[in-house]
Amino acid sequence: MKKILFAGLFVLLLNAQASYSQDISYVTYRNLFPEEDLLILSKSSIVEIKINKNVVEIKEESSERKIYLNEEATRFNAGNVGYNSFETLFELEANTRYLDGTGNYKRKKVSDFETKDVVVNGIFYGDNKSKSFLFPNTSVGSITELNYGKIIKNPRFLNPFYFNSTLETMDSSYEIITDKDVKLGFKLFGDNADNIEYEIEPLKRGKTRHIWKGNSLPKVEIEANSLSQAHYRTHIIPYIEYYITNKGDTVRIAGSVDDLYNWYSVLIDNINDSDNSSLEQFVSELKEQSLNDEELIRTIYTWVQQNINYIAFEDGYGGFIPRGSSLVFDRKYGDCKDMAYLLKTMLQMAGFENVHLAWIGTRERPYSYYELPTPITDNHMIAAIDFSDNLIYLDATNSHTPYGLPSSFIQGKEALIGKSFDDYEILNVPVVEKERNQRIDTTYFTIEGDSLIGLNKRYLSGYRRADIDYALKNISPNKYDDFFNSYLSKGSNKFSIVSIDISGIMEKRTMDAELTYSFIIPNYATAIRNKIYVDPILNEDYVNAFQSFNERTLDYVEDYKFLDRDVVHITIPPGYEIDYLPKSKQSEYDDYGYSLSYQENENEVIVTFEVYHDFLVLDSDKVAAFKDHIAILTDAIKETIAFKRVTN
Amino acid sequence: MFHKLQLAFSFLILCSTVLVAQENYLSDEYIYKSYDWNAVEQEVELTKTDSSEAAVILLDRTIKEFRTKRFNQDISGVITRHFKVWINTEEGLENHNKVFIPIKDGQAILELKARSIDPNGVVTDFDRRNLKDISNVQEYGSFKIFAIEGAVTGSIIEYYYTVPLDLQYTYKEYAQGEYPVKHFSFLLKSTRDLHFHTYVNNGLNEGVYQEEGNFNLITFEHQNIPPIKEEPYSTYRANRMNMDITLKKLFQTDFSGWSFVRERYKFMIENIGIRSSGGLKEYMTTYTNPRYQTTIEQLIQLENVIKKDINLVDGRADDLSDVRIILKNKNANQLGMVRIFAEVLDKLKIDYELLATSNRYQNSFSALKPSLAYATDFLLYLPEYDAYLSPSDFRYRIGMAPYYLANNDALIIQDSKYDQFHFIKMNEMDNNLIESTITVDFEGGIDSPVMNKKNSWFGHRGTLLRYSYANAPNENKEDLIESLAISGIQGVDLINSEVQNHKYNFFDAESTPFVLDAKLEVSSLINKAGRDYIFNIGEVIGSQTELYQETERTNAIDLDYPIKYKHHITFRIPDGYIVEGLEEVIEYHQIIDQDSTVVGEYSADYEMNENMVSINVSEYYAKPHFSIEDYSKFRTLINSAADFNKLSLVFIKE
Repeated sequence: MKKILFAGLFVLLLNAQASYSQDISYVTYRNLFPEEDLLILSKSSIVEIKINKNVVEIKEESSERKIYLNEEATRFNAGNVGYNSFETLFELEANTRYLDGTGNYKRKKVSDFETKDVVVNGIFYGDNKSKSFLFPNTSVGSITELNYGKIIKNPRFLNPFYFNSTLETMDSSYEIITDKDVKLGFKLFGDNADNIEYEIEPLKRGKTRHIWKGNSLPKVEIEANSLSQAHYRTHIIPYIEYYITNKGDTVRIAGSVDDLYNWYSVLIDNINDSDNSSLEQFVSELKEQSLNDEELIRTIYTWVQQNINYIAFEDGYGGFIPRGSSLVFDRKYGDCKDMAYLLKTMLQMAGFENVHLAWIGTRERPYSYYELPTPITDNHMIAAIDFSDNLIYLDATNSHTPYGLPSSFIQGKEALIGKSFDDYEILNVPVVEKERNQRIDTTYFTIEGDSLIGLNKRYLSGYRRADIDYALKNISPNKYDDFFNSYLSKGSNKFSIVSIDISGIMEKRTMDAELTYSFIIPNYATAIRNKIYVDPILNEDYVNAFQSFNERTLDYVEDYKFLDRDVVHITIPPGYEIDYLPKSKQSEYDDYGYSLSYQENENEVIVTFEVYHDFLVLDSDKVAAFKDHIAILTDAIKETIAFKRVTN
Repeated sequence: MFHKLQLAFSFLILCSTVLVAQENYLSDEYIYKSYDWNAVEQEVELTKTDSSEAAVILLDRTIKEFRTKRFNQDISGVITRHFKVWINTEEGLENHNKVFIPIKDGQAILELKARSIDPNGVVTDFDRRNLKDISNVQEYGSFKIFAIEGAVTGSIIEYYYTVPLDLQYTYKEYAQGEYPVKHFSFLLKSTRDLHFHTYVNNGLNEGVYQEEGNFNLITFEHQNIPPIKEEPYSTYRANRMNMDITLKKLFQTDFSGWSFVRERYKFMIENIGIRSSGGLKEYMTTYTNPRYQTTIEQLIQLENVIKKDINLVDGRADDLSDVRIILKNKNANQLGMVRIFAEVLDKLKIDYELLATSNRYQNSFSALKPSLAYATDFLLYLPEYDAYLSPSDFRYRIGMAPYYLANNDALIIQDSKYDQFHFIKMNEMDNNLIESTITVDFEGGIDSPVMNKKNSWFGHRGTLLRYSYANAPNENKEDLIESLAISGIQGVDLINSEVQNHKYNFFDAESTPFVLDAKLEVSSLINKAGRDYIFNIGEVIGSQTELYQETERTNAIDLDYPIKYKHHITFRIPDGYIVEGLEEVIEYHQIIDQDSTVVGEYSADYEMNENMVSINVSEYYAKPHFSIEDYSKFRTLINSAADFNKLSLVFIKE
């Protein structure tokens, strides 16, 4: 709040001045923002959309100025401007204005720009490039300036503009100037979208200027396991609904989902599908081996998961158009589109008619097709099949997700399902209920001296089961011992596995699995005088995972809903009886809860500890209550069972 | 005994030529022009151990060929890589189905073939039309890239390529990596007026030299190389089997010996002060005052200022090593930083030695192996002060040598008739003390104790923490301190903290520790057990490294530096309770050297005085290196501290 007040005062100051430059010293900024190392003084983009001889021309000019407030900030002297094959960069210039020791600013231009190919995580080959450079002489109080222009070659790919970022931003503005025959649409997203000022200004010759301004918007925080930045950063996504050419033709771009789907259909229609005879032969072999239709679908899906490796080539329209099925089949690699199209082709060859491609945005994209019918809404493609009155989503990019489960990162998202060239449907991918994603450990142990000797059976289902598949994928068999010792560790890190049967886990992609193992934990119990104390909560992973929650302010995101249960059977040591058994406890809320029970049963004590999360996103206004829940739970599991020697 | 691998299909895994007839290699033709990747000589069988690997490299072959043209002294070179791997798991496939060929922009691939053979024997050849270019990627350079087609788990992936190669002064070739290698082969062919030295390290077979006709030929062959294990407390990267190839003679010019290395680098300390004189003088005048500061105080001041003012960047542009331009642009590379400090020392009239050495975690310097490969890191030694100044490690200030350079030899670059070396000293364990004074207070209630913990980090650890703290963004400093204070103890809350000695304005980090005084709420250390309480006292020292898993050790033990830990823990027994379990505290272990010196020790004991309990734990490692034979004793010491971390006492109601 203090920061906002300071910033507000600051805005008043600025409005009275012509510019941000040396009129306001860096010391003033530093006093206003003592926690910050550098600030964005201003950032802006101006986009011009013109119709020129029946073609739409789009030019975007951007600038950004930053000020360096302390010595630590001067390390951030690297700059870069990114672009791709749908853009042409022009007029790139950058410079540093630095204090010369007499209180005056001097300017030094950047003379050396390097062109680099950018390798993006998850993409083997793409068309992203950057112009990289170093700002010279970034010293305390210096101001860096960056200006560049881009020609946007495809009217569907107008860039979003972000009004704020993880740095404090004093002033940001975005303008679009359109010709009279361009119908513009736009949507604002993120926190503080309501605080963006918008004006329309008519210009000569029927042009229109649209202006959006953000003043001193607060910076965006980053926390682990929160929603993607696109949910928080205030940003605008412009799009062209349609334009009218000089000939009078209306060219529709993104006025509705119909427009978007029409474009997608044309792209899919251009798939280069060559001779599929070997693929057909293969599919008929799979068909012969399958007992029924459902098994056949599962077999085809699993085959694609297992045998088509994810290698993505995303240059140009390669990022939008799937490769032909026979090519992907022969190469044994592809990206999400390639796998989806291959699945569709194979299932159709197997005789299934109602198989579709589905475009979908993962959970990191906060957009709906209805509000934003543009390619930015989605970033993924899967297949979907109508079978037995169900729509089954088939995402082969996840090699470890079992048949019948959608990938966790598309739960709850809209899928744009292509029924035919002209027909589509938007459906929501279901969210998998917590009861399908379980980890249940049933443990039996005895106490010998101060050691626990035990047997455990672990049951995993749904995404919990898929997780271990995924973990094992990245581990070579000679490291399985270390992995399972760590993964199954309980009680203390002196835990060691005596024997284990992992055969139940090793059959991949099943909806559930079990493994059993015997273990020993030396020096776990405390034997003092005539008593033995033992902490029955061998698995504190849940509580430990939230120890850093105290500082949390943002929403908390889970990959999936889950239910975990530990049932521990403790044999009462011979010659001993129960001296202290804690009271059972529980608490349940809408989105989460726990229960902890202690029971005596003949010669054993049974402790059952269950926790569940029934949410994918815990809103930030619920985080405080969740912290209390963790504090209560942390206290609840701090009780120790005591046995005492029987006295005759 | 080897076992044939039980596979769903049977095929022989064939290895390319172990030793191709020598007359072929010594012909006037480039080898790559007649290279036949299908040539077969030896059958390789996979073992049971191999079946538990993610992948097994069947052949890793490199051929480097150089030709000179005496008339115009032109030198051309090519490199051929032939690689064949059997894929066992998804991880193995993921790591081998994408190929990156380093190549300069504008150069062409001379040869490229690739294929996969699936478990059914189906061969899929790579289509060269799918070869892509990526240029100037970060600091890695440019590549031709492609994906292997048709590969699944159980496949064999094979490719070979030939690209142009520039002649360099030195090459480093690794034979060992994370996968086993059945056959490693390296071949160096050069015309007679181009000679190389080669050195093998860590058990790699020596090369075979031949001089015949117009060519020199050196071949290295090694079979069945096991994978290197990433083991804690080891320099496993430096322990990989590898070889160094250094240019010895080109035409009549001799490049051999350390004198060449000295010649190459002495430019850094030549022409001192001539070009940059004005700029640096002005810089020094701004930040120092000789009237009130001693020479060493001026140097300390300048080192602080320079390392804050200048940004260290990668790159070879002249601007980054020219002192005048560095002072204007504030960007410098490693060589530029050496020059700046050499000029500063010259102006202050402080004698120094410029040392060239290597990071012992990557390469262990050897005076017997003159090579630029071991002259990658630079240090300035000041004999008058017996202190080191690292020009390019901004974490360090004058005094200690960075730990990864210490305990290592170095070449003295200064001009002299003879090769001179300097042993970079490692400081003693007492200078790397980590001390914690911990008081646990139950005054507020037995189930809500408060802990005061004062940690003092001397030497290397203190230096590195000081740097991390000073350079953390302001908004992250609190997180850093909290993390240090909590030190891995679960469920505790930081109440307040104070940092001392966190600024870089003093000499001798060894005797001035980085200090963190923290107060924490530690009710998570108490478990209720009816009327009694379990006090998990061991957790107060924070989480500890442990080596509980029984695995066969393959690397010797190498520590970052000799180190000593001391923990002093006190608490008053809560009124109305007695304490049980203190006898479990007592523990004592030692490592004794061959000359009967105690080089490692763990000891823990307690005292009780009325209701006050004090526990003292001490752990030290007096030297940075222990032999593999000492591993079980070393492990015992490491695990002793980890065992203490699990110690519990019981407060029993009286």
